[in-house]
Amino acid sequence: MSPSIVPDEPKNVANELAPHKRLALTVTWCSFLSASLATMIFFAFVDPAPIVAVLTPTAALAGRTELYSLGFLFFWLVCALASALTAWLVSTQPPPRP
Amino acid sequence: MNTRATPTTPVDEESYYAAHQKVYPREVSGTFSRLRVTAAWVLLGFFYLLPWIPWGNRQAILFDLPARKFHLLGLTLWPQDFIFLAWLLVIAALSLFFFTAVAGRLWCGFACPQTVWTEVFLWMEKITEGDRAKRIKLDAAPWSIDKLRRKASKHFLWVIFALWTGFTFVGFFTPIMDLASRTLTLSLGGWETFWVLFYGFATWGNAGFLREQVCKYMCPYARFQSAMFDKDTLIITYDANRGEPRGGRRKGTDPRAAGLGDCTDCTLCVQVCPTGIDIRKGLQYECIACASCIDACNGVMDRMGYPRGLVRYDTEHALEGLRSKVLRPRVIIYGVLLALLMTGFVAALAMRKPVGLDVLHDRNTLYRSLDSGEIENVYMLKIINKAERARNFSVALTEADGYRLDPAQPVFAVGPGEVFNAAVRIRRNAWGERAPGTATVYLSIQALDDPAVRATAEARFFAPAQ
Repeated sequence: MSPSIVPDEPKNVANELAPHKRLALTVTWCSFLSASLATMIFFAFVDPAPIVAVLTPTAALAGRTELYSLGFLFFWLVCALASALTAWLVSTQPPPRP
Repeated sequence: MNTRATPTTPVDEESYYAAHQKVYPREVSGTFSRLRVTAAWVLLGFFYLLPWIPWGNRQAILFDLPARKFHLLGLTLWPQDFIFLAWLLVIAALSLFFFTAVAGRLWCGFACPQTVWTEVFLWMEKITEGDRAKRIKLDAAPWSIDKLRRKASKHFLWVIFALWTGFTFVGFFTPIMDLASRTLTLSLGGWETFWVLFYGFATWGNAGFLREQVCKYMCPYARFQSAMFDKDTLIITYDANRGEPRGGRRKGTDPRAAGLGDCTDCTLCVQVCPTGIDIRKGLQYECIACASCIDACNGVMDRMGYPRGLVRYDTEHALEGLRSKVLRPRVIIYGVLLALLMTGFVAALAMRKPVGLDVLHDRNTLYRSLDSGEIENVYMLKIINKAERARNFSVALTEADGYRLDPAQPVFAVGPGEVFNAAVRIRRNAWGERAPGTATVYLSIQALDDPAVRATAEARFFAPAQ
């Protein structure tokens, strides 16, 4: 059989995604993982429903599902911010002076 | 952020990176690909079917977040059981370490959701766009009716499958029957819709487009798994001693006479690789150990009449001609720890009590002297009812001569999964025959409907010293 219909040319350059795209993926995913963990631990110990009811007694009573979702998105945002700042500082660090 | 705009990065940085090239994994058949397809069926079967399995009058597996309880078959876990979840996560992590130390990236190649869903998305790509060569041609070709039809049907399948995945995911948290009927009548809640779309979008993006880039750039495990490796870990290897010098030859040629190794340089191992690497360059961190290259190479070896295993699962030690050791300190330590944790987990789960009791002494006042001459202490009881129904608990003092409860026989109704706070008073005659001063008392609670459901807690009784 002829195994290769379209032969693979040896690549002279690494097949890599551009650095800023890589960073964006890394930041999004790592903050997602951290936020999942934070959400799980936080809401295992804190029931948000009564707290929100006390804080805003006049507002319509928010269900737990909404509060968990908002909590997760909030954690994700904060983690992404920390991740992005770290990534940016590390990637723009000037080389050591001779 | 654009790193190229900063003066500190090299100006010609872009030249180090070829524009990302799409990897077109070639279809492969063989032992390991059958194994991977089987694993995909089993794992995805669990994922898509589990929420539909009933248990009594509820779903067998339901993470009921609004009610703050997890149903796992006959077991109901409350937030107070968080330790079990944490414990389970530790077991999962340690299992990953154990299997990685023994057999390399088994997880990546066969069980990781990223691999499993990519497998399904690739299959859908194959039935709509054709095999590898056809896909490459199709992508390079100008737009035509045929290209539009093929691309559209691929994306149609992808989107439907991704939406079904998102729906199933939400079905683990919301009763799926109810969710299904509300989906059909288009009356899903806002957040339910959001999570169906979110999880569907993530599946579609990760399995359809990002694929191997998830492993290369996003996965922390892919980076640190090498820490669990040693020279006795099973890895996918190319036997360079046997294969080199590589080169094309006619079937039937004696490779040794032609000055060639066993590698025919057919590049099939490269074409089947889902991460687009060449295993013949040695172990690379991109390799997810899916063993597709082993299947591909074995097929070629069979056709050439050479022995199989030019590319194979092996250890570094074996490649160096040394013996591989399976039982080594690293594996034994991981294994023993894992066995202990699992035994502990099962035991703790089996001995998990349906009721819990904590006693806190009143913070403001240590004791009070009453007009009747008695000393009184106030306690806050935290009664945790882990059962699925409401229960009445009676409170009593055990082995406590000279002490009495006030009220004498308190009974508290505690709802299912509720942590109930109740105040009780304990009184003691100040001049009783017991040694005055501070002492230890034991409070116990007992379910009225089942005397076996009971718990005891210790508390300090404070009194003035004589």
